[in-house]
Amino acid sequence: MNFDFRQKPIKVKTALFAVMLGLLAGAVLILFTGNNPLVIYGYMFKGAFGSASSIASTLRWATPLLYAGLAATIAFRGGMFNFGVEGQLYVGALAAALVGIYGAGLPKIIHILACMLAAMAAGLVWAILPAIIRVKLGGNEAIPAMMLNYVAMNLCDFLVQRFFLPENTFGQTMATANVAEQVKLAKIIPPYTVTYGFVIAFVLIVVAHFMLKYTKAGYRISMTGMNSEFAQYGGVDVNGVRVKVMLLSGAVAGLCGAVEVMGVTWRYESGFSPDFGIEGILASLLGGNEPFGLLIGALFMGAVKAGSLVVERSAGIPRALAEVIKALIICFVSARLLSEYLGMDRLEKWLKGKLKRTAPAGANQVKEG
Amino acid sequence: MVNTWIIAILRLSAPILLCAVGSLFCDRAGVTNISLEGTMLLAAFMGVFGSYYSGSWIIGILCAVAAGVLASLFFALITLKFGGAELVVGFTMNVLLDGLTVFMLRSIFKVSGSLVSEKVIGVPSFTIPGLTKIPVIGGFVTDLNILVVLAFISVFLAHFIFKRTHLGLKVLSSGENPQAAATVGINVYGIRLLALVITGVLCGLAGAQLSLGYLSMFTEGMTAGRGFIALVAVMFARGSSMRVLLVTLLFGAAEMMSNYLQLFQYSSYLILMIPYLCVILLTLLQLILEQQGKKKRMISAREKTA
Repeated sequence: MNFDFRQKPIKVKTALFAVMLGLLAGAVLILFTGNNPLVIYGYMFKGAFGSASSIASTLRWATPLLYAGLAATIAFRGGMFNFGVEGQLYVGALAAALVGIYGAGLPKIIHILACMLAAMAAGLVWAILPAIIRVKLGGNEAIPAMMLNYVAMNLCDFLVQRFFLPENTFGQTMATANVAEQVKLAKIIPPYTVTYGFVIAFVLIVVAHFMLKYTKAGYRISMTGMNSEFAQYGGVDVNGVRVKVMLLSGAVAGLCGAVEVMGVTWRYESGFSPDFGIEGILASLLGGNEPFGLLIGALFMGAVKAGSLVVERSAGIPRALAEVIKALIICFVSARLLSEYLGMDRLEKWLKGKLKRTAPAGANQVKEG
Repeated sequence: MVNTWIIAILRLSAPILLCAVGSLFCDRAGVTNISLEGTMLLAAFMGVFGSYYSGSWIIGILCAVAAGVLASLFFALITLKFGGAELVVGFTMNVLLDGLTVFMLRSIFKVSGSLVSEKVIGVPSFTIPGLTKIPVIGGFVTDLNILVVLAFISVFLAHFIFKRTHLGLKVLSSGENPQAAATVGINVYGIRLLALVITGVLCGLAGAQLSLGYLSMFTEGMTAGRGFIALVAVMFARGSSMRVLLVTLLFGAAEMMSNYLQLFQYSSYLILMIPYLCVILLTLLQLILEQQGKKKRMISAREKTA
């Protein structure tokens, strides 16, 4: 099985075309439910951008994707597949929740930092095994990491059930008690649910971009991912880079769990993540594995999610439709030859030809001369 | 007691086995297809869908197989025809098909979580009379269904195809060295497409076994990573169909143990982890053994030339 993957830059026109096709396919599904696609997409747009609370919802759903996607991006750039983001964010969330509850005596800033660091440490630890599998044992880390996701989810639930269930809870949800008040991330504009977690994520993305592009470490990471033999020849300790990249990725993924716990749910809840890890990986793919691309990808996916919730409330169409559309768009983005096949290139040439003919006569003469 | 265990192992291994044989074809043909999980899930849903609306488990199985083939053809279209990256498309298709099944479940059947209904007719099980009381052998002939039987037939069929037929050779060479194969006149594209169709059929049967085999219901996300476990089985097997069988039976045993232990007082969460931990342990074991093997070969080669 060939697990080589080198990301080629995504052209804007490919992305736009893919979005169009994805929305078209979604429209077909909407028709099947007996609704008017234009109306439904209208709801979706309003749900994502139509009001202040919509925009807040979009940002709220984009935030975990920014962290998870950043984790995935860092790994991808280093040539590793961190498919274990989901598990790492779960252990990170539990760690943050526990520190949030039991560290109540600490001063506020220290407490917040402690929660985040605990989460990053937990995520990092959870990424160690896949890193070892790739570097020490020469196997592929993708599937063991995926298996660890399932292990993590069950392990966290088990730990809560055994040790951390608050008294008098007989409910079905395995959840810890609420974290201390001071650890809860403040909302940027109350009462909307967007917290400073979004701001931190944004800062991290900018940092990641500059690190990858302008620092030695970033260069080493990018080269290891693009062509590890070349990197090794150039003196890069490829295996060291791979391990560090994976551990860093795990740490960021853990932070994702922490921000979700500290900002939104205020406690660890079983199953709190609607596949943030997987969605983060998709957002990273959408963004061409570049930090700023990820920003756009995560915002797009957050918008679609926010919109789909409104659609579900107003028209009863399951929010899973958004998953289908998002996934189709990514498939179509990957299908490089699709636009060629459908004659988009000919269409483009035709359009360009039309534009040339309407240009002033002087310009044409210069070209033909 | 042993017989009950054997019955359970056979039943639980069947979906993984079917998927793994399909994945074997893809892998040998040079296609990296990680969309098995989603394909199996779609097939499981369509199996229930077909059975619900037709009242016949045969139609259910046919629907499941059709769904599997369609999913595989989509993968083939985007990857083979339009040059999409296999890993990206495969991974994304799992999300796509999971979302699609949830969407269809909730909009067609108006339920969420699971679909349980008497209208869903499951696959009937049969028993070969006479041998049931014998330990061990009895376990192999009691409470079988056609899908389990097909699963085991498929392994032996795959083994035969790869060892003895022209088709098998073509598949192996398409995967081993596609350019050389093409120069000899093998239609590599066609072979890969065929491998994907075969995978679609087998994953379709796997999905049918999951949702119609002994239970008659569909649950969101019911594949629970089995598609990936099948991939691990194929990676471990390194091309040998018999090894695929062995590994898959091991996973079936792990799952059976996990179900069995749930009857006791142990925490269900710990027990649910067992199959996944087994996969990881097996992967580690295989990699370590491979490393030892390489070292031994290097040492003996050095000794020979010394």
